[in-house]
Amino acid sequence: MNRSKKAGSVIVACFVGLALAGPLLAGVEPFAFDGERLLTPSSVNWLGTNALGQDVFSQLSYGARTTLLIGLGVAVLSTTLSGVLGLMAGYFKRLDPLINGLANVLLVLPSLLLVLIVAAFTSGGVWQLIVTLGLLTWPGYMRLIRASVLSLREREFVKASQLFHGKPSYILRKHLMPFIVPLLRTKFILSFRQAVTMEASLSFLGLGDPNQPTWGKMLEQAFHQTETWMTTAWQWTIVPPMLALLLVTIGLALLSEGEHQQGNRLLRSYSPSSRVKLLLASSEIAASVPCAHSSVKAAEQTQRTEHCTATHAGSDNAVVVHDLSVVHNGRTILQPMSFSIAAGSVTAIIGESGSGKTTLARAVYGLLPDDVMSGAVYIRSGGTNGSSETSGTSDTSNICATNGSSAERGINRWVDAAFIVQDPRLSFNPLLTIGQQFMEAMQGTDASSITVSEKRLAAKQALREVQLSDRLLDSYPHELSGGMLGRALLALALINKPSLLIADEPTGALDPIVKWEILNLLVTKVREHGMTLLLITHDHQAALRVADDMMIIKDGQLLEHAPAEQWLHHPATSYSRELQALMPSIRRRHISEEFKKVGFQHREGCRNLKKEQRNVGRTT
Amino acid sequence: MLELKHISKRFGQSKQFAVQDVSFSIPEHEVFALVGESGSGKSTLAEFIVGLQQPTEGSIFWRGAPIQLQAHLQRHEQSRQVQIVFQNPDRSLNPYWKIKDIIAEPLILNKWTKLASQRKVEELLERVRLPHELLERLPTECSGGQKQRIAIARALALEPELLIADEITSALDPITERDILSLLSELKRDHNMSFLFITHRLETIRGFADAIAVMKNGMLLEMGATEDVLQHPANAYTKSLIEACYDDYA
Repeated sequence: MNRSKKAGSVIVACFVGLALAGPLLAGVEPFAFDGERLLTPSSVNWLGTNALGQDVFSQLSYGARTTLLIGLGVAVLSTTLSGVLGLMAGYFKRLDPLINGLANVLLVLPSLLLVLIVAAFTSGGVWQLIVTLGLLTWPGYMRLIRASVLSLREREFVKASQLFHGKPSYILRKHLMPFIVPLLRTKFILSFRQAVTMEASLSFLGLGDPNQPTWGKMLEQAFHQTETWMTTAWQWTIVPPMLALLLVTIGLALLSEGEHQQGNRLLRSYSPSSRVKLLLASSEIAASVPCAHSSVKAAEQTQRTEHCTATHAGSDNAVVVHDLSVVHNGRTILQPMSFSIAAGSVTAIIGESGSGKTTLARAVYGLLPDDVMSGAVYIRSGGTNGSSETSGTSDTSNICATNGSSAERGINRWVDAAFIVQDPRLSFNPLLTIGQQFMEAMQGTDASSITVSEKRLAAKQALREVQLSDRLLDSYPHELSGGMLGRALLALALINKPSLLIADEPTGALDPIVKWEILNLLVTKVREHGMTLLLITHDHQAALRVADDMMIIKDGQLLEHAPAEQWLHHPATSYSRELQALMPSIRRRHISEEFKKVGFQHREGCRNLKKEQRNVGRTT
Repeated sequence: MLELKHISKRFGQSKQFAVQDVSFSIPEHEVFALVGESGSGKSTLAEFIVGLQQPTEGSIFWRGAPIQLQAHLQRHEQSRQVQIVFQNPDRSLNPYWKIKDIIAEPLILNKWTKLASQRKVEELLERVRLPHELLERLPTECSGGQKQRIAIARALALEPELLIADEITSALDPITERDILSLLSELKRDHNMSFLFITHRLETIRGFADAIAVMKNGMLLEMGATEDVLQHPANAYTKSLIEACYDDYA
């Protein structure tokens, strides 16, 4: 339970206590004219009396009963209706137009007006109010629930249950209900709050039941008495009911806020990791000032700097990962690892699902929040200006800083490094055209001064580079096939010529023919532009064909990091041998030669296929 | 055992076919592999067989009887005998259910007693080689391979004779995939089961499937014994598919 939820429940619990115990403590009927008019608070009349001589505390506590009863009644009725009707509308295709149509009608009716009319005609009784409000406030959440049921209905566990002859009532109750309970909880609290304020407003307008003590009516009476404002009487006739109303609504708001936060804890926003920074130009690392010069750093920091400079100096690295580890909720996802990746190389990260490959990639790209990640990652700056653009940074010993306090800027996504995710179909926003998404990716460049037409030109060129027609800029993602989207995604990643490209299973969702096509293109383009590629895959056969270096990860541990040839012929671990044994049969010859050949044959195959498709198209 | 005759499915009134004139049959105790790229209509065929969708033309026969015309009771029996395991383990297990409830679901729905189904669940868990501790866990606490085994255990609960495996290994890494395949081979050997194995990865079926059919754009391009098709593909598409998957044919 978080803080806002705790505070909310305490406030609401106080009022429930008041509603239950208050009338007993007061000992006076709310409408009894027992005392003098406008008595100040005393041990007999705890909150004094009003202008009619009625006990204010008694009215307040009886009013709490009415208010909470109405709130609870409306919340129960409205939530039940939203839940049941939402489930039915989402699950049964036949009922959907009926229920949804009814909801639409109710949504366009002015509900306040309706409530006023009903309240005026029924003399504003408690139950009439509950029923009216309950019947009027279900459509909003019903539609939310219907929408989520519509998508849940297509899940395979529902289909499986149908195949086992599970009845609709069973599927709705057992399978779908758990998913909508969080929605219902929020709806319950919101309806409660809405009902409390609505009831108070109606009573204040004089539409409530005159025989029921309510907070709204207390306020109405107090406001109508001129004495209230001439004397100090407002302090006990107006402040208590007003405060009660305010506190109850705030308490309920806090409750629903807490619910909201809890529901969305996975979606909470975090600032991109400050542990991922730009690597300084390689020449500077090589010539970096000796560590002793970094006088501002503590001794410990200096030591680390020494180590780091010793490890990575001199080499032309695109990525330097130093002591990176990821721990989430006490579980170690990545064990401490340090490695560097040479600029212009293709490195394949191999491992089974759940081994931490993707986590590593996300850590390198800075997608992990700082609190789960320790260590540091440096990426060479990219973009059209090349790596020289960071030369302005003076303190070169920052290369080993493990916190974000330095003046270096973090990486600029799509410019310094780009990240391609598994399914090209899911990587594009379905509501934007391909062209719009290219424009978006180009916004991060330093050369943001270039005009739209220039950007468009660049996008067209990028598309042509991956053998796509530039007319695609105006199409939406759903108009393209999986292979075309894969190419478009590649073009998107290439557009700013980042120095590092991270591809997380770029071909996992594609069939073998398209897979080779995309992989082929990816590696060719990366080599052409001298970019560095981090290829994450569980297809080690493909990896072996295209990669210079192999990194083997198992259970979050970096087992091996070796050149591909060496890994193939002299695997260092038994796990690698086991992996290699699984390959259908790889020719242990020169890998890149093999790759070229297969790539060529494959293109031939595709051409044949296209011809054949055309022929089929003609004949049918 | 199962026979599909001239199955077609078109979208609405259009001339576009999701599946066009597909016929094949699966003999008893055989593994029949259906291969093709995504969107070629493989999964649609699977849904026809289990009854999640109806074809617009053609008919499907289970042991000689057309399944669309069967009486309710027979239909019930047939659906027990044919079970399906879906592609994505995350979507095929309800994330709010414990593993023991997931596996027991078909038993409970078939009116088994609590005790009997509990015993059966334990036996099934053993059969798919999963540890006992898993029973109390939620699917989110299991690995991809474990989840797929759980889905298989659920499909096995009613002792089917034909198991349809719809791309069950395409989301898994090679080692897990190998383990799942060896599990299926074991099931085939020990329980005399038949399989309809749907995949887009040719390399997975060698040595496992007896016959293979290649699909593209809803049409059946080629069909035959596995080794025949792999060694001497008649169709250009099949050839390029094989080239993309195997080195030794390239």
